[in-house]
Amino acid sequence: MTYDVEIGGRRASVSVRRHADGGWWVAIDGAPAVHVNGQAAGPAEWWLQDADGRRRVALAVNGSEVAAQVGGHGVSGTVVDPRRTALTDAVGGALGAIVTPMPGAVVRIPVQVGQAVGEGQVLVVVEAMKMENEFKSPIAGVVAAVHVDIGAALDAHTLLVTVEPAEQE
Amino acid sequence: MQHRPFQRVLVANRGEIAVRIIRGCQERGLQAVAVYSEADTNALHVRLADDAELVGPPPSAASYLRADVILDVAARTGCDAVHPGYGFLSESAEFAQAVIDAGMVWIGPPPAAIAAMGSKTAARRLMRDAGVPVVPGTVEPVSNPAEALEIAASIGLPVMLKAAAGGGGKGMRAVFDAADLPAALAGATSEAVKSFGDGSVYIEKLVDRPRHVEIQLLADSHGTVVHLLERDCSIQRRHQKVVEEAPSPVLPAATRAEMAAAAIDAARAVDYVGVGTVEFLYDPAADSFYFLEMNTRLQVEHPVTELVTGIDLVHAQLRVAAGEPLWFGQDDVVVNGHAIECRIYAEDATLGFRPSPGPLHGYREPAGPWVRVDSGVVEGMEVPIHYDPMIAKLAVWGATRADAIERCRRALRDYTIVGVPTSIPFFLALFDDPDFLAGVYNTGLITSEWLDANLQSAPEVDDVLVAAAILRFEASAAPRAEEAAPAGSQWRRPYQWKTLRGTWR
Repeated sequence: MTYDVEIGGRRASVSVRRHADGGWWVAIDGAPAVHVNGQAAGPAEWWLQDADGRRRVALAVNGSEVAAQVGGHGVSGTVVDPRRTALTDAVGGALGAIVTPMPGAVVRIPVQVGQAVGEGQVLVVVEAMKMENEFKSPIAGVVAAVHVDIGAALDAHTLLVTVEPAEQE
Repeated sequence: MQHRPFQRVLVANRGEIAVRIIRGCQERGLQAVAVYSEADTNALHVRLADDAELVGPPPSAASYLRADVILDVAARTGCDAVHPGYGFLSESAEFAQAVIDAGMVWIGPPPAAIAAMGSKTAARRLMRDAGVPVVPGTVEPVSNPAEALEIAASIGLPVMLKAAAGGGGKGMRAVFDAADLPAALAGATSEAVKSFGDGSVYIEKLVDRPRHVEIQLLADSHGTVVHLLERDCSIQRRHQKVVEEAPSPVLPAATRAEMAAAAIDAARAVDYVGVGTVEFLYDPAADSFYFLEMNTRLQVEHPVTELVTGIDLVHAQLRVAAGEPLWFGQDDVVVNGHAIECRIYAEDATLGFRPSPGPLHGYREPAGPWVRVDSGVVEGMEVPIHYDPMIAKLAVWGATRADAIERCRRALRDYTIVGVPTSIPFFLALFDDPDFLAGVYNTGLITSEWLDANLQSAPEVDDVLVAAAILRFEASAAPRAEEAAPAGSQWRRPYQWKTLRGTWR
């Protein structure tokens, strides 16, 4: 089985199959497969044993979501089937799609659909934990859609505004 | 007479400070009653208290700020005292008075002292009259841009706009260019209205590269006031403290004595009783200091003072509120070693400290000698979006500043938090900064440029983590694979537990 994993900004293609002596063969990005074993040490801690020894990894998974901690950094990621990744790239990831990374409430929407906006212009203001966070346009263009209303309570990763790029001159 | 013995304390707060106060009460043989919002049903303070009552839905205004509901709970649960903690109702003179009027003991300063220090402009006037040095600027609120420009011109740019009712960095704007002043005034005013319900803003001269040094005070109800030395809180982000240490690495002994004397003068000017802190801006180049404000409550960073003085400030609050005269004198207060506190926030330090509330799938606190963690969370809990994103305070003691830093570094590396980004990478980077290690930093150290230069935007994700993620995914997708683990393994069965966001393994 081959997975695409994205975690803390690193993307890798990983092949996994069972090892006859227990554990797994794991090959990362085409490197030779190594024999590793993994065991749960707690709800969010995991032992990984390979030829170099045993390492504790702070990690939890839920479906395809991964949450981990490395070097003090709390990181998140996904483990997905490559066929689904292609779909995700086509839908999300567009430059002009403004998505809130955190939950919060919409306090201001200083733009309207059809309005021309410059790079860095504030599109939506979201309040989270008593702080106002301004979401600015990453590009110059025209507001194609506003997906939220003032006062709306947002989950993380909610699409706020879509900006269509200005035509290249 | 307000000060008299009591048995049962209502703790009108949440999170780590509610836990801290509940523990202090229980150590003194008192019972503690917690209040909680719907977002905190399973919070640690609710679990530890002798009794607990729901006070409302998650937003603070509907729960922890509902003075009427909280007073009703206090009466109904048989409390004879109220401890407000910090934030929320702690600096509301009206609430303090209402507690006293209800026949209960207010574990805090007299309402008149809270009121006198509550308005920053009134406090500046009061302090100027008491001979305490204040930053040049206005003692009256400023509302129109023309007037603001005139004042800025007279005291000289740069200037700082501050909310009169402010605190916690809200309603503050630094202005370096007169052209920016009108917009900054409008912004500070609207933020002040929003945060404090009072849009009054005043203007101060911006002290160049200052340190934030504050004096901890303790006053009994019999007229005795002592100081418990200083804390240096010059590492800030968004004008909010993130690292505090005691003693200050730069304050000369003579200046410390002068600053402490000024702080005691400030407390006496308002007939202060209880635990309080006078904050100063310290200009190391000129070796001069200015009164900033007095916080009429227990401070977030009180543990560093406790670690270097051995004095329990919550116990002290309880004893003083019960009318006890101070049981030690100024000469008994000596500093031992050095203490550092890091505020562990659910914030993404690599993205300008963006709040990042969420579930704590994994949570294990560091420990060991002289490592103290004040927290209000347990594994599996959510960090709610409704409140301050602080998860915990990590406070460590060392015989020297260098020892304390190394111990703190070790403890930070030992702190397991899975599920949300935290400020831990920031502290680890700070502890590598030569200026911080030398102690010669100021409140302007942490800029976006500093963060860009010193903080990796993404951690190094090695093959071990990648492999572990895949294997854990495989194991959770196919539970039977777990049974292939070596015989006798005590970890053969995967752990599993549920949160609101599904089942994490």
